[in-house]
Amino acid sequence: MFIKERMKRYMSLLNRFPKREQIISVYAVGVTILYFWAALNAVKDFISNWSLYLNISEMLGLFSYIMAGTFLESLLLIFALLFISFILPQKVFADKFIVRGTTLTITFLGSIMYLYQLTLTFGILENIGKWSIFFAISTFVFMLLGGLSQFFTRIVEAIADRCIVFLYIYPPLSLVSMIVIFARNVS
Amino acid sequence: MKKFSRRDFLKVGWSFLGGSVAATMLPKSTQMNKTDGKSPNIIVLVCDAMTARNLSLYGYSRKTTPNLEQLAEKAFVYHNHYANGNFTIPGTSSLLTGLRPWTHRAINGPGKIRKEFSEHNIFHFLGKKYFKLAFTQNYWAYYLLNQFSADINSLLSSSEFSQTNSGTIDQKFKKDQRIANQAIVQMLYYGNSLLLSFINGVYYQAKIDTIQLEDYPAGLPRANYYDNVFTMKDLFDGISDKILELDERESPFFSYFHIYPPHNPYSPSKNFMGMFENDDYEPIAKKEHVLSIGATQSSLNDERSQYDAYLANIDMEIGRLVAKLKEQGILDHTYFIITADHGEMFERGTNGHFTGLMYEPVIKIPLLILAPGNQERRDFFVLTNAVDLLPTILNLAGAEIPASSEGSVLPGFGGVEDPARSIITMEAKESSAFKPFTKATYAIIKGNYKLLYYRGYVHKYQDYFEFYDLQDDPEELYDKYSKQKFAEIISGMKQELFNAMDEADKKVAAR
Repeated sequence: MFIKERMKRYMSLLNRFPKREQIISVYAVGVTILYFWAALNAVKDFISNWSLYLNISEMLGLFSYIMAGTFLESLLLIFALLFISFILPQKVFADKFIVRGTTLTITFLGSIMYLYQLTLTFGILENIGKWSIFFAISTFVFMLLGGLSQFFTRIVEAIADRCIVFLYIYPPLSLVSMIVIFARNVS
Repeated sequence: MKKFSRRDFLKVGWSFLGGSVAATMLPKSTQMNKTDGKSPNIIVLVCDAMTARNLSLYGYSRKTTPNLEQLAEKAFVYHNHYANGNFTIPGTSSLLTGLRPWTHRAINGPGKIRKEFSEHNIFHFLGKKYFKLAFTQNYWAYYLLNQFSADINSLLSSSEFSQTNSGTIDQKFKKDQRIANQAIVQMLYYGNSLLLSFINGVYYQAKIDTIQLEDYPAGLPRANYYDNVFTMKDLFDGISDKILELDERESPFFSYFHIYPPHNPYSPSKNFMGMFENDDYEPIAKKEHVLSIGATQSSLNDERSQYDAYLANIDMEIGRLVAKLKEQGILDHTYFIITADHGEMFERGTNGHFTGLMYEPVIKIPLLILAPGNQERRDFFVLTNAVDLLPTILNLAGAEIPASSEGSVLPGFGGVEDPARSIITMEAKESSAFKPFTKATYAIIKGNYKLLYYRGYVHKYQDYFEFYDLQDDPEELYDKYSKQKFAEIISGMKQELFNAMDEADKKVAAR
């Protein structure tokens, strides 16, 4: 009886985690945004900077570190979302993981982009206050829309679904990057 | 055959006279070394971004360097010493290799010296006789030292004397340090990684906030954008402890300490903070330059005051360091060289040194040498530059000076005063290191005259000259390029500059 009770509690805890397909969809959204940002900046740096003083091998090395770093941050993001899903009531987050997770991913990463537009001086985030307000308002508005509008929900789900294709590109690229990094540090 | 003109005669005459004077002015210790066969210790202290123009040692009206002035009373003081570039990479590279930027090609942001010159450095040429220690708080300079690491016995971490340890990056990717470091910097500090840089920013700010010390109400001194924060006292105590350690060795030592102050952020301690804020010093307002960042005069004045206070703080610490070394008797057998990698400017709408401008504040740097046994002040007004340090140090150490060195031994240490000498310094951070420069600023200084050449910038600075008479106009306020009176001098300087540029381009094309 006791074991059955424990199992039941355990299962209810597990239910707070979304299904694998839902996790993959939301992860794909994070991957798309994070890799797009990193690749865009790498291309920008390549044109304006790297090509001036790095050879091809060094540029590939630099790109590999950035791709590996982006993979790490994509994992951090999805684990953070899973943690949120775990601590919040199931009905609030886990049951609507694709919509809520995608919305949160977009508003969170979007607000960081906004923060960087304000200032990013040598890694110091001077406008963290403005960022917090922007993030809180945008998250609230989008969550509200997600709750009220079926149309909005369908759009968010469609975005998450279409992002999955990037999972076939970016994570394998990161794997290759890690091999490159390993080779550069052992040779 | 070319005629031996009156000018040639004067040149030879001056050189001969200079040589004779220099020979009589050799410090006793240098002469001693030649007799007793012992090699002296040599300490080089490079203060990042220290312009000679803001030092009271060189006549600046704010009393920024009373200790250096005192040290100068028994030192060799060079009044017209120039960096070979206007920021860390070219400036430090030239100082350490004795090569001009267009030869070593370390001209870009975190650039490096061309592979074929990686053994062309002071550590290598000093040979095995010397124990060689190197330290820098500047990460870009660290890349360079890392390039020379095979010739350095002890390369200290950039955070060796810091409150926080940013040395983890140094240790994790030893074999691929430069690229790994650059990737980490781009990801964490320039926002290339959206999330990691955000997390780092939040973490970094919180961490720094917890270690604000009472002595630094406006924030601790910080090196680069890393979490490499330190106190001036710890930094200089650390340096003096290392020197004491080195002095216990059997073999002579050469130590290179490249400290980050007075580079921005300017963070003087409580005792120096605001010391020049409300004084009666009024900097000369200069017209904003097209290539400037557009800083207002009042913000430039504020920054200048902070910088000057930071200089006074460093000066005090240098005075303390030298006093300690004297007390321990180390300076009795050690040369102590104080210089900088480049200058700093607060004029024409530009602050700092990451600029295309090459006016005096950003290229004119201090050079002060304490020689063992020397008891009097020696002032030199002849033009010298950073590439002269390598041959001078090798000369002091009794090592062979490579023929490929592009500098000359400093007058006072075996070199001659050559009034006909030209100094060429340049910046080309937006040009490729692998090709002839397409965007660059050159400064050629000869006697009292200075010619600036801008190439590849916007508007008229696509191809533009400025000319100054530094004796009549040390503030470079009046461009006399179009004055007929100077036409011949300008033409000669242009020719010299173009010849040097052509030669450099040929070298690149031949590689």
